[in-house]
Amino acid sequence: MSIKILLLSCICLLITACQPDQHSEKLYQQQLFSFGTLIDVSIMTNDPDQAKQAIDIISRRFDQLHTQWHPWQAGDLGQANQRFSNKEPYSSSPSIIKLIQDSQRLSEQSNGLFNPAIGQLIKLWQFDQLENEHYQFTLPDAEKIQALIQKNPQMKDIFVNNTQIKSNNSSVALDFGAFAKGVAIEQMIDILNELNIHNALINAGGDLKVSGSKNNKLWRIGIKNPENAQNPSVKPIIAAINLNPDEALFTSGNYERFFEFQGKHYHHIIDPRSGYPAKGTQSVTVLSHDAALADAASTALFIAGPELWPEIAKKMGVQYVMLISDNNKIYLSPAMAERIELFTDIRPIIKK
Amino acid sequence: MLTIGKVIFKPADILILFAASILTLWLYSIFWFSANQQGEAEILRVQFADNPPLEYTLSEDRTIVLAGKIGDSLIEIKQGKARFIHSACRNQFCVFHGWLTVAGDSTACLPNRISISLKSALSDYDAIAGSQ
Repeated sequence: MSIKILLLSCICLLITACQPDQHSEKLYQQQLFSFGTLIDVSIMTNDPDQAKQAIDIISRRFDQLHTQWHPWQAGDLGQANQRFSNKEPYSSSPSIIKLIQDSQRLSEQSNGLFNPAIGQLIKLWQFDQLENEHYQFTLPDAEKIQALIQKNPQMKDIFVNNTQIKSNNSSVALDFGAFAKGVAIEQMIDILNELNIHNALINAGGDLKVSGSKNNKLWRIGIKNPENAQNPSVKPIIAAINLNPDEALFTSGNYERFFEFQGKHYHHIIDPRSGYPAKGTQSVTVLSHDAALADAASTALFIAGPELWPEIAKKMGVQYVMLISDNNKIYLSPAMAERIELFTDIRPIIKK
Repeated sequence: MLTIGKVIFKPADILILFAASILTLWLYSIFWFSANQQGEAEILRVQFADNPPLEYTLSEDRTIVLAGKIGDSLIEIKQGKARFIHSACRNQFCVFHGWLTVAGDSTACLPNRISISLKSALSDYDAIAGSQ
């Protein structure tokens, strides 16, 4: 009799193991149109009110930061840029001062490839007009590009004195398009932690950071195949990676923001050395615990290209990198090669 | 009757054990070997401005027309995939994104404040990196 009961008990245990854990949290998701992109907020909690409150706070904060950090609108950064062009001092907010100081360090580490001081060049390429529905794009004047390259705007041209900032180079204009999203996502994860939400994912237009896990399962991220945008017959997902708690994954791609002129595609990642869209790379994916670093590094390594990226990655302190060149070669750092699952027949090149 | 060692299994015992075993295997196959393990999407979720999201099954082909802030956006569902086929925006990033095929993928016409994303109860991915 006892063996029969034991057998039945084992089967019952197997059946009940399929039922959800009573302590598991529910997933709450909300999409926001903010920060010039589509933001997907995923929160694990058992309290729907807590989720709603957190999403409202995050939504408001993203909107605030978008205004404050927009290079050409009337916010704090827009006003600073006006003063820089006249070499006048400007009394700025602590958040802009921190953006400047962190960018100065990262720009130096990247040998100037990450350079938020080239705002005027970005404007010359009209990428400030991407959100303007009535704008007709043209190619910028080559002479004007050359003139700006000669003036060589750099982050080190900006001087910070307490709350005052000043540029000694009138060609400096700050555009944190390659940094602000990372800093903002970092802040949002901090806000969620303060609200006692420790398992979340914030995805802003394909750049993301996670906290904790999804009911003790690591957040699993697919990485878009950059070729898929032009050729729908190729697999849409080229790789996948499981993110540990508090890891960020940022991708810079030539297919993300662009305009077309006379049938030619001009993407938004401008090489500060040439003044033209960077060549040689289709996409770069960077994994780091620091979303701001991942954001800056993905841009710098995209510009660095297939040859130079390992040197720049080392200088910036980035361990996990995947670069897909425009001739479809896949380059991985040794640490990334150990973490990533590739879904392609292309054999990756591992570069130290 | 079946005798194993000193234990005697009557026909009713065997029936219960057999039924329980079949139930276990069936549940196991549903939870661990579902076709959805490949990330096959089931639902298209459409977010239109601040309205509650609309959901459409991907098993029925259809075209959805939404009148957004700057004009119409046309969304197509075909053979389990979805895409923007037209939008009133100038940049056409949403159209350029092409077909959404994997659960977790999404794209949006930001000027029209319309986003589309694929969902599945057992998706392989929680998000797609590098997807605008």
